[in-house]
Amino acid sequence: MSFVFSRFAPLLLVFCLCAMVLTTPVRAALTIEITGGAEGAQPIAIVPFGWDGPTAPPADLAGIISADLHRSGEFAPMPEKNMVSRPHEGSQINFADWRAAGVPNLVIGKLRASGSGYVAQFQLFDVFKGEQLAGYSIASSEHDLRRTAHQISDIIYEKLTGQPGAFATRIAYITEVRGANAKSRYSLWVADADGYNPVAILNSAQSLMSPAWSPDGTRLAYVSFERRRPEVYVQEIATRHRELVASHPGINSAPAWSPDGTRLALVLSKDGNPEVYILSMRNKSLFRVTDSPAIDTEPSWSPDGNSLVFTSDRGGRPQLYRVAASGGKPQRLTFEGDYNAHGVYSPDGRSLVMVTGEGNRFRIAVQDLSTGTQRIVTDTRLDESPSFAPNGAIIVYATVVNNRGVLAMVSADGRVRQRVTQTEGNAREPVWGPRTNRIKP
Amino acid sequence: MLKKTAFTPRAVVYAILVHAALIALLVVNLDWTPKSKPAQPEVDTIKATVVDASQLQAAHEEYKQAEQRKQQEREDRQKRLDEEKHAVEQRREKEQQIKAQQKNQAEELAQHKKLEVERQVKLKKQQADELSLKKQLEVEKLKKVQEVSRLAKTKQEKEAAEKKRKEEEKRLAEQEIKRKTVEADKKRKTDEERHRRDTEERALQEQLDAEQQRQNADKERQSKAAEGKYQGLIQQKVKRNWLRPQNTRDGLKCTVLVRLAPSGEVLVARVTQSSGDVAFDRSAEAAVYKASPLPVPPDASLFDERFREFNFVFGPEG
Repeated sequence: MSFVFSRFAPLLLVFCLCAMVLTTPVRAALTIEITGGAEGAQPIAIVPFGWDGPTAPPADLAGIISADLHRSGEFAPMPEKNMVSRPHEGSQINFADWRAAGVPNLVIGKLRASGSGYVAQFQLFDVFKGEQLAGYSIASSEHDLRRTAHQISDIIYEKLTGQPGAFATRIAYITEVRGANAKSRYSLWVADADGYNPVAILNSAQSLMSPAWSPDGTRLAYVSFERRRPEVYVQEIATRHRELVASHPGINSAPAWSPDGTRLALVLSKDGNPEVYILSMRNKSLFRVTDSPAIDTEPSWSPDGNSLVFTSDRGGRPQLYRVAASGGKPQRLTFEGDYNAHGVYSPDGRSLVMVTGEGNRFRIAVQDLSTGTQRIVTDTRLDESPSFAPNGAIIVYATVVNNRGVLAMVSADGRVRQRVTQTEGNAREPVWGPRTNRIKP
Repeated sequence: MLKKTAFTPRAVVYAILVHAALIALLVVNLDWTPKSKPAQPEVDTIKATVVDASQLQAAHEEYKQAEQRKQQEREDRQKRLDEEKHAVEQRREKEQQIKAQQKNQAEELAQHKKLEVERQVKLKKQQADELSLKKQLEVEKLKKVQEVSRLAKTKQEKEAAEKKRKEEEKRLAEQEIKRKTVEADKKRKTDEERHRRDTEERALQEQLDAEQQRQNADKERQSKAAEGKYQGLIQQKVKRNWLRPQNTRDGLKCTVLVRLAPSGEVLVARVTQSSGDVAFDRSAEAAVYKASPLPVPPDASLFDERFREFNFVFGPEG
């Protein structure tokens, strides 16, 4: 004890002196605690972009940006009619006006023609500090203006939340349109994340199912019944070139790309019972992951590529299980409710989104993998096929409204739900594509 | 060494002495033989007489007797001679002895005389010394006497001076005491006066202090009350203006430093300790700005002390 004391006595002394010096000021500065407060979307004003062309502007960039930010659930764009002024340049801003309106964030910009294309310029301001937080000039074309607006949304979102945005991304989905002759027509679509600019990359008289994005966003794998039985194809989006990758006897379904894009998990019943397999995209070799008399389907990769989550009724009712990509004994993940299916990992790998069933009601739920807590985020009846945006902030899913399949989005916390601008016929099985060509703020 | 020794004067002296001794011995021997000669004529002085046959016998007898006598005489003479010689020798010896004795005596006498002279000289000197010592002693004694008398005199003088000094001192002391007494008196009076005044002043001061303290306490109480009041008002207003972001993790907390104008207008609100969540931090800053102007006390000192610059901590619910 004395040894310890003597050894540390000098240190102790120094410490005491420091403590004395530090504590000398008589009174601690006043500190006021603020707790509680309302929780809500952060106000933001996105002033309509300036445009000095003779005709109407080719796109309402501010409108697109406002819709994006609103859809995230985290921002409350100010209605245009409430704006006291419409500056397009930093020098035109009277911050006091915006402060008085209680809007902490302000976006201004302008669009101008440049050669055959356009240049979009925008600035994001902290109203209270009167500081610019971001400012860019982005060259665009008439066809890309919406995408440019989504890129601006991404920049604003990242500046204000610290998280990357996922507005300049795409979704893929299937539609079924019943023709006059009662024959259905099926299409595979690729559209902007807000549902705009949809492009059908495949039309078929037979059923199409389970689209899956390759990690680089250039290809889609899907199931087609065009040969009267389910087979798995991979199609290049740009060239429409397609390849049949799985046509074993029985079922070939539910393709899912490994995060590195070299393998495809899928479900085959070639051995008599639907099991999860991994198909190498390099040499087309197959590796069987599951082995059970029950139905094992809907595999989804963990972000690290080490394990798969899948749906199985081996416990009597469909539930989610996790298994190592190298095989082994699966581990049950879901215990709440009598139906949990279509599990998909969040981009950070910390949670799963799934369809949870309660009687005849199927809704989207997010389960925290560390606590096992499941939270239902939708409030409709026949929700299916949830898929996370690349930043994990929004979930796209399909639901049925007025007997019609529609696409919808919900913020990951379930606060903001919104229908995606519609589409013809019945839409189903939306899947959110990866982030590509991101402008980093 | 040997050579050197041979030439030493002492050796020469010894050699001379040895030779002298030998010569002396020879002289003595030579001297001895001629001295015995004077005895022989005495022997020659004996008379011869003729005697008949009967008479010869008788004469022979007589001769024989004479011879015998002669022999006897010779022997006697010899004996006498020897004795004489011995006596001479003895006399000579004695003479020598006497001579030596005389010489010794002379030497002794001389010595004695010399000693006597020396003694006399010594005595004289001693006497002189004694005299001089005596004289000196007398001088010293005189000196001592003189010194003693001088000392006595000095002592007397000193004592007198001392006495005088003491008297002077005493006089001065008395004067001092007198003065001091007067002064002490004066001082006592002054002190009393001052003490009285001090006491009065202190009492007054205490009264004033107490009043001040009471006022301060009142002020502090008021100030504390005011501080608490405005703290509450500020808290309320900022809380009303705080819109927490959605989708944030639980338990976020950030500190916002705020600087106010005396009007309560927010000059600066800046996150000094981030929650780690950009949206949460910004919502906290925005809440403070939106709440501007904050309700602040009109008392400038209280404002300066507590409200010009302070911190908000935005925390989780509860």
